[in-house]
Amino acid sequence: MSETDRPSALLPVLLAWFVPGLGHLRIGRRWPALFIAGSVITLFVVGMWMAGFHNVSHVREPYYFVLHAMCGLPAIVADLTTESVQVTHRLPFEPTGQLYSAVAGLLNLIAVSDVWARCRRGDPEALKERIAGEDPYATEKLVQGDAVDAGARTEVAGDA
Amino acid sequence: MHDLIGRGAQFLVVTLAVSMVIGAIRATSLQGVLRETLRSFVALSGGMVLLVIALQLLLSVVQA
Repeated sequence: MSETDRPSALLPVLLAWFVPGLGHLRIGRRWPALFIAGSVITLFVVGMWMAGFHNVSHVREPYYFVLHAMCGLPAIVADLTTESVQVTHRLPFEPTGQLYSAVAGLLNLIAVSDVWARCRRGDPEALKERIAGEDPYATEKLVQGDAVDAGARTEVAGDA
Repeated sequence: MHDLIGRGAQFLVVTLAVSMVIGAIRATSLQGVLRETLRSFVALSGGMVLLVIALQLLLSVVQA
């Protein structure tokens, strides 16, 4: 695939950050979108529930909010809707809940990176199949985690 | 015992979420995503359980 054939990564990446799973949906990857939306949003909400729905706030928890903000819209909505909440007592599982919401943000960051990689390098399953079909030693390379390099080599060989 | 179950459930929730994202970034089809999710879940939870067992053994040796 040449540079001009590749779709622009900007809009899918922005959508992937703004709503977990939407970036994958934008590039036509329905199942990854569903799995990412399900895991990230569930983990984020479960974390909020464990922390008493007052852990996502750029005023009360500014450092954690940097991680929460990776979730995009859910973090913005949570911040705005819990803005006036007064914290009277700490719950026993609050630190764990805080971590859950932060991990959800980091997982969405991985999903954003994946959208960018899919736009730039193509689909991982198609790449595996292509390598397996063209290169008899591809399986060993895939086991060694060398799939992308092997794909690039195959592409160069094909161009030549 | 109740506390242990609670902590185990917390651990499983976060491990499942991480596994689902790993599955989603490694594959595209439903079968592929499910397979990779299951593989990651087994690897993550198995690795963590082994780590905890190793730490417990080490602690018991140190205490003895």
